[in-house]
Amino acid sequence: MKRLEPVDVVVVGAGLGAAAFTRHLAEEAPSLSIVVLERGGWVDRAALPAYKADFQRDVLGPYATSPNVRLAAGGLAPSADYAVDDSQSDFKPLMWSGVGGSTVNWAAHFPRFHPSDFRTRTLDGVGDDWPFTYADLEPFYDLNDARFGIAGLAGDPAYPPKPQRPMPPIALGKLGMTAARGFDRLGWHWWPVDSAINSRVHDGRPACNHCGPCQQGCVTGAKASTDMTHWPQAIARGVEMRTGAVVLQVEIAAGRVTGVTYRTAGGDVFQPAGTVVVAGNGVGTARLLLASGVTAPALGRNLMYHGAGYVRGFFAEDLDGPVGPTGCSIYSHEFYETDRSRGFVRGVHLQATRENPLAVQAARLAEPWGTAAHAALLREFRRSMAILVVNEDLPEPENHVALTGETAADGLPGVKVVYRLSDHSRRALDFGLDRAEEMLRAAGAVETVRVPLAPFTGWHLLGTARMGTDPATSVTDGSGRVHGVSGLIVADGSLFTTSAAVNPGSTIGAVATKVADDLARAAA
Amino acid sequence: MKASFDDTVLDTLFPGLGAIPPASRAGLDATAVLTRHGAVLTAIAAAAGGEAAFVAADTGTRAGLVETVGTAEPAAFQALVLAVSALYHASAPVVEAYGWVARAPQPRGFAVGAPTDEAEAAQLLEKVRARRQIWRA
Repeated sequence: MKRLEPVDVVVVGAGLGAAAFTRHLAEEAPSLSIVVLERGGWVDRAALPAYKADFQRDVLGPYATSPNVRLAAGGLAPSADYAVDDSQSDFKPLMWSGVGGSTVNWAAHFPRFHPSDFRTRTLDGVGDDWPFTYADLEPFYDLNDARFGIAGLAGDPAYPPKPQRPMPPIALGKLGMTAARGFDRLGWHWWPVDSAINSRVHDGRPACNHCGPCQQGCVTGAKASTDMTHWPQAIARGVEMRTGAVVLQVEIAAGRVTGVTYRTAGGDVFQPAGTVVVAGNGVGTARLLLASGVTAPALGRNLMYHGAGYVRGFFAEDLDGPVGPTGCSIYSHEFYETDRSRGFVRGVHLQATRENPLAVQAARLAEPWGTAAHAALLREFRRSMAILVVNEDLPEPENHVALTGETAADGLPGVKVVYRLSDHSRRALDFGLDRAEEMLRAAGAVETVRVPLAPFTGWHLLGTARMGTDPATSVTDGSGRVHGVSGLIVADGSLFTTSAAVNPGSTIGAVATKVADDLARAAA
Repeated sequence: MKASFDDTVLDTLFPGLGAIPPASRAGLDATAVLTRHGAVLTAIAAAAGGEAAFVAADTGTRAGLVETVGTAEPAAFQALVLAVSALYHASAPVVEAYGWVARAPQPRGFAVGAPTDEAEAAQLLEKVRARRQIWRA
């Protein structure tokens, strides 16, 4: 096997966590030599579906959000997907395995966690407290926000004060305004979302022109993804990015890392390194660490996705149709904080989501063929709004990532996810769905349809290498350092001690930036 | 008979309605999909007593036969329906019949929002701002 010259730091993966970590480390510790190993490649924006009139077919096939669906459609070169056995999981893992990771096809809805989200054990007797507080993380949230470029509005009473956003919110449109009036009639909180999407020309990238299919990749670059916002800056500072590099093993000897073995088209390679940083998301990171013989009892356990369901409301008048960033309109945190009278602790996030293209909505019909399909689509297309309900998924050891015992096509052990929605989540979701129906009626919906569980929302792959102070119940310390393995660090959503009830991208970036900051200080 | 049978199956799955064309007249290239899911078509023909019998049956009978096959082989049938649905609902005549534009989303994009939205939103948000703090310290 070819043995390369040693480097200071190897980063495994090039998604959100890896990018936030590497960019910050390259800035704060410029003397370190850093190599990034990414199994996929760079996206060719000119080849993305939004330039094609029949783009909808790609949404359901080669550019689907599920790697399993993409593989079934023949695979997609920039995302070096691996199959995930999700047959025992209520939610289906969604991800992108290329430079930029899932920021390539994310919705770019960019909320922060609340301060209470970091102290669930102390405040509510569930989950665990994080090893740091919102206040500790706040400077890294601010830094991470600036690096992504956020469109939003200051003054939201659901959060501690945040810095002024450099861009106003993405246009709410008819759909967002209709939802806003509904929340207003009930006297409930609502606010325009923070979006990692340009609403104005910003940082060399254009303003969003509301084309619609954000989750098949943004062709203009208006939507932030780390292949544009982080990696060019990191590479300009000397970071070396190697694509098409599938890491097979983190090599560990006598309790410390010695490097990684990875596979390329030209054969297997050993890259010696003093520090190995794994950032492959809650499935990929657990898979690699388990395959590498890391034995922390909590490794792979406590998988959290977020419970998710939605209510679709049908209106008599046209809304906007399938335009604008799907997940970036308005949200409500009226029911985010604990109220024990509801029968559960922690809370729910309500989010107005924009319409999907015709073929996508057709694929989700309860009766998807015949005259019934036409009747349903005529009722809802251009006239519907979904209120997504997201609840805080509490960590439970039995929800986990495991190896299948067989070798997969990429040379790593196969991987499976085992996840069942808890009774607690079911109660929280049902409460949120009731509130969503109430709001939609207040907004003028003439009919509502409840979808109690939305399986293809498994974007948030969290908790499988959780932070903590006790090696019996956590995998890393508060700086992402794996207990008992010197030089091994995790820098992605796997670290999350709890999940909150909002999208994790902002917090993944902030935590990964903090992990890099801690390493840079230690290396100084 | 094969082409007629295929068209009849397609039109049973996605019949026309008003301005919405049936699948056989929506400009689909469904050959690959129908080949991939040929076992379901074979089952439909068998249930009808042959391709010709299916074509000759009335609309309600055809729908009933297709439903029978869908009940007997739900996974395979659903895969066929989703594959044809993706072709059908992405076709320009169907998209336009549903009142939308059949063009690539880029480079033109779409206009969103009315000139009065920003002022109305700001007014509504004043009430929210007045709550000062709803997060838990």
